[in-house]
Amino acid sequence: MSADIHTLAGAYALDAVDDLERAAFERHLAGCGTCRQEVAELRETAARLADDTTAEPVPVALRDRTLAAARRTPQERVVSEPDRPSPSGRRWPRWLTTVAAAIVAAAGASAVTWTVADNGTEQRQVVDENARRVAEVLTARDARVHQIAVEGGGRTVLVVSQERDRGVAVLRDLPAPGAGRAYQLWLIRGDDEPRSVGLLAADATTATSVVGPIDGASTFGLSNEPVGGSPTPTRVVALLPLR
Amino acid sequence: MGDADGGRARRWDPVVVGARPLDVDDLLGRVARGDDAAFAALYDAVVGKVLGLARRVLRDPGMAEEVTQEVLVEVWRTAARFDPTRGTATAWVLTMAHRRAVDRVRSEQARTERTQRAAARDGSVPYDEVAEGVAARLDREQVRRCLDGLTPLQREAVTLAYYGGYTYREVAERLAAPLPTIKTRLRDGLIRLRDCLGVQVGERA
Repeated sequence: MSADIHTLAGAYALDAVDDLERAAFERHLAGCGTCRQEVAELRETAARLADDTTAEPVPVALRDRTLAAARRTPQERVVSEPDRPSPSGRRWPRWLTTVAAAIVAAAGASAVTWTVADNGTEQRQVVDENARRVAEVLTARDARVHQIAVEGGGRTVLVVSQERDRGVAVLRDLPAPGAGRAYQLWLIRGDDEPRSVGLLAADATTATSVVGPIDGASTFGLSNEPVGGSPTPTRVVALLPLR
Repeated sequence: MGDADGGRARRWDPVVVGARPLDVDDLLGRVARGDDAAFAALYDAVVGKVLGLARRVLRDPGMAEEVTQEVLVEVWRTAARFDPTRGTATAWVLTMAHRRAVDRVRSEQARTERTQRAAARDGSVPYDEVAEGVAARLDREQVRRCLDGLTPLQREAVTLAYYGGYTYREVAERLAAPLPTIKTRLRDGLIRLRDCLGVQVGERA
């Protein structure tokens, strides 16, 4: 059954199935991780076919109408994925493991700063210990990936496991913090004061940091502070909602 | 976690240090947080493809504009559902656009002669080559080259399904080929295209 229905993968990716077949195929996908991977790639491929249809120019009135209609339309707030069961619990992108592994391997290099924060800061744990703690979060069944671009350049990716009550922050290619300054990591719960969960070395622009406990935090923050850190954030460069 | 933490926003308004051009994935992330400037930028980045695709499938400029507006408002409404581990933001938008256009063309069946859609087999939408960026032109040429690399049956089947909005059953009828053959050609045709275009989502095992 499974092998037979899977031959629909191409037709499904091209929307060339009827509603019943689509529903049946999606049930099949729910139980088959490699199939989801194949379908994701075939959909991505199908979308490339639109490259050959690009319309120029586009009527200006369409832009005005669309932006106005969006302004009148409330947005869904919650990210819910009940229709995408994840038996292996792997919601985080596979590249992140690679990134993490590369960082673990390079942990001795000066380009990489390890910060292990446990409701305070305790730096420069042994590499193996860091690797273990990163892996614990990344492999948690409920790991969720949040990411955001940082003002001025670079990215922040935060993988959070509520089960483990920990997150892994991967900070890449941040702008240089400036002389005598460093990046500081924060977790914020509701209206509480932001809680410092890590401080990078002066000048560090790339880091992987285990942060926690999450303790119900709704936002992760990154700020630029004087070396040694601040009791509360003063120059925020990224805010990442954790929901 | 509740949403009753509006006070955070007041205290935590980030200072914009400097704007960089952001890619569509970044824009969509900002759209998910209600950023309407990001939505306008996202619109500008994808509307040419969405409208072009809708025109190609629907063969009706008015309907194509309606579908384009619906799709982009839907992108605004559901941006939080986008999962970057499952593909690019552009493909997410275009997948939605294709589905919407195909649903529309199928619901129009009762009123419209199916033969009109035969036009989908050839002919592309006119575009202004000069206005088209170099990157877009290279992308388009790559798609054409890769389509040329398919067997004739693969190419016909994939083209009818994607640009024509036909189900694989209809494709089989039109091409007078057995159903299992068409199912297989759609899949192996797309796989060949995927490899030719170098499409990869996440990391393949």
